Order: sequence, then C-alpha cells, then structure tokens
Amino acid sequence: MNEDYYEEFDNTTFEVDEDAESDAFLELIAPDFLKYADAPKILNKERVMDLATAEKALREIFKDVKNVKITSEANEEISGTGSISITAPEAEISRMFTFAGVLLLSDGIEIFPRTDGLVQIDFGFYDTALPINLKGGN
Amino acid sequence: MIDIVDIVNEVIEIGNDEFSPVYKLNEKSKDILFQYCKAIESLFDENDVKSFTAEADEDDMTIKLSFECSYFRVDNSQKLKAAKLCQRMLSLKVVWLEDELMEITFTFPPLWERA
Repeated sequence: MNEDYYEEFDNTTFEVDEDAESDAFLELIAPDFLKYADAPKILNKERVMDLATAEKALREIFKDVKNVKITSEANEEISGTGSISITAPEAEISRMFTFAGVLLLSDGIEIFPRTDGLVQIDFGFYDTALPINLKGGN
Repeated sequence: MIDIVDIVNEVIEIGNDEFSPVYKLNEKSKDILFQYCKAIESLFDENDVKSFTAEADEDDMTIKLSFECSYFRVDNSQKLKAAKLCQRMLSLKVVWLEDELMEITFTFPPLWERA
C-alpha cells in the first residue's frame, strides 16, 4: 500500500505576489466595476456544471456522515461567483481522490471555525455568471 | 513557522522503538513523507497556526499531522499541489475546537512494513 501513496512529490508551485497582483487588478477594473456589477448576467453553463458535479461528489463523500449540511449558490449577487458550503461540528473525509477532484474543479477552498460550534468548508467557483455584452478595450 | 519535519522525525523515531523488530521502517517512504510535510507547511500561514502535533498511531501505525489554526485557505495558485497531496493521504479531518480555533488533521499511510 505504501508504494501507492509514497511517491516523489514535486513541491514547486506557481507563486505570485498576491498583493501586487491584487492591487494591479483592482486598479484595472475599478472604472468598470460598477458597470460590471450592474450588468445583466447569464449563467455560464460549463462553470455551473462544474459546480453541480462538485456538489454531487461532495454529497456522495458525506452521505453517511451525520450533522453535515451542504448548500450551494450558483450566482452570488454582484460578484457572479458560485460556492459550495459544508458545515458540521466535525468533518472527516476519507475519499481523498474524489475530494481532490472537487478541489481541482473549484477555484479554491477556505476552512474556518464559526461562532456556533461548527466548522465551515467553502469551495469557490468563479465565473458561474458572466455579464452580457461586457466589452473590453479602452 | 514550526519546523514540522523535525517533529515528525522525532515521532518516527519513537514509532521505530515501538514497532520494531516486528516492523521495519521504509526509509524511502520516510523521505517522501518529509516532502509532504514541506508541502503542507507551505499551505499554512504561520500567523494562523497555534500549534502542531504529530503522532504515529499505536494501532494502525498511520501518521497523523494535526494543526490547530483559525483559518486555512488554498487558492488557485496552490490547488494543484493541495490536490496532489490529498491523493497521497488516507483522510482529512476538520474539528471545531472553539471560536476562532479548529483542528485540521492529515492522516498518511504507515511507514513501517513487516520485517
């Protein structure tokens, strides 16, 4: 069994200066942000399917676990992003290949303790809704 | 940040005393586990980690790495590494401890094989 799990691991990653990237990005989008936020949007079918697939997989992972609640949102207001949230007093995941697949479908994961005795695991999905007729350029 | 490799190494030495001579440590697996430790370490923000513990389970000899922390995040730039790590572990457990504190435990397969 060990040989399946213990294989050489490439620890390199694509590192970015997040603060610099973030500042540059905000500067770039600031003039258009309100227009973007107010623009009518349509659901991005491919991305919504990713979210639905991930949610189905997570429901399978947690199907026998008590006190776990899974909710999802395909198009959060303004941001146009989707998310899946899992809340539970504790969450143990043993189907790690499936869980890794969900992580890859998503745009990242956040885990934090809430003030009501539960932990929350959030998967983010960008671009589940796209603005109609958003034109680029100057 | 706590040097988790040092702590895990100590735990492996204690495990060796406990499990030998019936079981023998696989040195190659140990070295690779240290690579996983480095990768996990890089996923945590040192300011969020309150404590770290490692354990070689007496019953099944699995290696458990536990972090008490207030927040854990993997973004797009790190998700491939995190997903690969997930595929190498047996389980991931998150437990609420108190407001602004939780425990995340990564369980890896045994490093010992029957001698």
